[in-house]
Amino acid sequence: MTATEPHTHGLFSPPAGNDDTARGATMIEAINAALTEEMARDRRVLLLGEDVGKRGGVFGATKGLYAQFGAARVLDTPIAESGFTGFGIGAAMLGAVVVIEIQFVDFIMSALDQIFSEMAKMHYRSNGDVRLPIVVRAPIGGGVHGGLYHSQSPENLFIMPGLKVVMPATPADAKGLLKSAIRDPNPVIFLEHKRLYRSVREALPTGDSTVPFGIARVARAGTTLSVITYGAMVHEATRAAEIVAPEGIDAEILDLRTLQPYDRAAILRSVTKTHRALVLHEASKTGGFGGELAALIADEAFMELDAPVRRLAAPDAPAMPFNSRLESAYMIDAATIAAALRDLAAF
Amino acid sequence: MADTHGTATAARPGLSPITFPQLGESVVEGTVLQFMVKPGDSIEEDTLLAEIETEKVTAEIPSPFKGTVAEYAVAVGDTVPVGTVLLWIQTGSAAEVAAIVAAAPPAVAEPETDTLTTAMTDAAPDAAPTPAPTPQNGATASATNSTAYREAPDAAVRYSPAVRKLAKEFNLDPATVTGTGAGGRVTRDDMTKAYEAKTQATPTAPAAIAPPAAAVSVTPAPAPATPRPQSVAPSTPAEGDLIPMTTLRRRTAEALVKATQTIPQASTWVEADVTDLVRRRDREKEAFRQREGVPLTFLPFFVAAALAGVREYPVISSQWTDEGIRLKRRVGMGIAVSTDAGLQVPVIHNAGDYSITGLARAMNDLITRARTGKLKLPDIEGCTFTLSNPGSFGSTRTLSLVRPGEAAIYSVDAIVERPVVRDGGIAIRSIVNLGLSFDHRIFDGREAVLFLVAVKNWLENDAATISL
Repeated sequence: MTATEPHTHGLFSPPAGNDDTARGATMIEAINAALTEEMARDRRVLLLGEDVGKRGGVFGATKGLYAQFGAARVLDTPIAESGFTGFGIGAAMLGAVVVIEIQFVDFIMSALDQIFSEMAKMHYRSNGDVRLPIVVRAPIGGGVHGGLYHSQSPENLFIMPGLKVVMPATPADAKGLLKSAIRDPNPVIFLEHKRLYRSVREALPTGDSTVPFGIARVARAGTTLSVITYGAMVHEATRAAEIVAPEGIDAEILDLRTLQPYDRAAILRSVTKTHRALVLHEASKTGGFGGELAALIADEAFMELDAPVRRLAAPDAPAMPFNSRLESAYMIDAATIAAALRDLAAF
Repeated sequence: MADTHGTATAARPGLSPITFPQLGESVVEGTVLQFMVKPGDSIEEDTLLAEIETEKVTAEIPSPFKGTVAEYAVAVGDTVPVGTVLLWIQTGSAAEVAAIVAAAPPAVAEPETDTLTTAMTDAAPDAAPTPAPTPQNGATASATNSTAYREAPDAAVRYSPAVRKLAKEFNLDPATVTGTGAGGRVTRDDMTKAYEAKTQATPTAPAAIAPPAAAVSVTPAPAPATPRPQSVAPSTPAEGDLIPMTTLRRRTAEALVKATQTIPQASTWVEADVTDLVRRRDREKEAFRQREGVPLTFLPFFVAAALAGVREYPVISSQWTDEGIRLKRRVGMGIAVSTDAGLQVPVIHNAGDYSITGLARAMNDLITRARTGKLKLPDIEGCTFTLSNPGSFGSTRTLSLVRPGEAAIYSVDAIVERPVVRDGGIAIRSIVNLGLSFDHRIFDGREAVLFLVAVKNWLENDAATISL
């Protein structure tokens, strides 16, 4: 059932025409470029997933690749995430570099056994003999009127030894990180915020440039407090920082870029500078990745703290509501973040 | 301080605790020398209850309220942490107190079994002692205290780790800082601003360094008539008379051991010709005494000479820290004063602000109060550089020990007439030996000698002419 749903949502389909490359590339274009370049560079790279071939993916990430590289390297699969993820593991064991597209991260659940029990553990289980150069790409996140089954943020599920987890916030990072992910000899979960696919444009670096894992990006330098976040929240936090800047609150925004590994040194450096930390993510609070970040700060920067480490995250509701008013109430936006920044600065 | 009643102590209905007061930032414990009241005594507000001794001072504790002494909580001679309950005062009804006194000592032990094992073993619930109720918070405890304690900083206030780190780094008590955070909380920024204000602007306000229990009278430890705790004397004396250890003696010993163990010290001396100064003083001392009411000694000149040297070599008044060398340009000039109780070092704060007359007055006041046991805490805190004056006893060459927390100590020996060569002939001149022992980590012999030469030059060229 899952694969049929996107077809009913024109919202997720690429807009017809209206190419605006003069203003830089969108994240979806950056991802397409990374895939194209890596497939051209390395013949072992193959793509598989639902509708990634002739249709070019429901979001258009694989557009043109079927025509360029052929049916042997760009494979349309049945609607069976567990099956084609296992297929990808087998192909990787036999020497392929596999990029799996999960149409929405919400649909990955049936493949978790393959991912957790096989993909994450193969290298360890084989005593280092078998490496699985697999990238699992999946659109994540909400705020796009996608409802319960197309808006989840389960990135915390993948924080597990044996998996790397990447969550870019900008087109250039998406391209550079995806190239790094494809070249990584071990499994990488690559989570693309679907709201960022076409909402942000950025000139892409020319040439074969990659972004290494585990190096955070200072999205905005500041001195009053640190916001540690990733994905789409980087942009909301930056907007919030501009809202409160005239009030004398100079927020530093740290974009983690990768959650596993994550840049502990950058976090501690920033907190040591500002002495106040807000951990922010779109996923719900309890059990979220923010707990890990807050614990790190408490563990290793305790004596630097002038205020409790605060977490701002979605409410512990079972899902992102579909009703647009409820959805906007659920989503963390710049105004909500600004209020949290004021509160933390005043502590 | 007030709430320390509550932190270590169970509340007892009808009874109010009198605790060991906080007598200065660094004081953590002290000894009960004597109780001045006994159980059953009726007391008024300000009746003296007990005499206590700390490393810095002895003090008498006045009652903050009216009532009846219920019981002692510690014994004479006990050394206890600050905040420990010393005695209980009945402020409630007599019936309540009678019930309390008749009952067993208040239970403070935790129940030995937890709820799970209690449930599993089906133990009688009353088998475990009931924990005594504790005061809800600092406000509850401070409500039992008089105005004497009301201005004390609330030790229950929790400071953030960053603030505590800065408190240590700046040696700045957050309780003295005005908070701008939520609910008046002291923030890291508040600490930084207060520290900047303290180091850059005016000298520290007296209130900031005054002991919290301002009404407690303070005397140097120990007063000669202080009865010694009985329990200190050994039951079978060893050969030779035992001189009981006073807290001051012990602390002096600890400081000196620390100084010799932690500070690599070196010393240097120069001789200064103070003939002109001696003549001037002989000429002016009578008029000075009549005019100013205090004697004109050599000491103010030696202090002024040292301050002139510090102006030229500021590192002489500094402190070794792990982060770096912290200059103390506002010199707190410590004057080592020998008293019957031991060595006291009262401090002339901002010594550079004084004229010779001002120094003479300040020193006369401090030395008099040191010898009569009237020093207050601010008088002995904030020393950045010390003058030792063993010349007053006739010493002609002194090797002093740098005190912990300071960079150097300056000694002035006796002024003696000596035959010296002047202009190719032999002359009789008044010569004084000046010494400097210093922390060799902070500076080298060069600075030490050049400092002493600057002092010598001032004494030889300026002391005889500077206006008083």
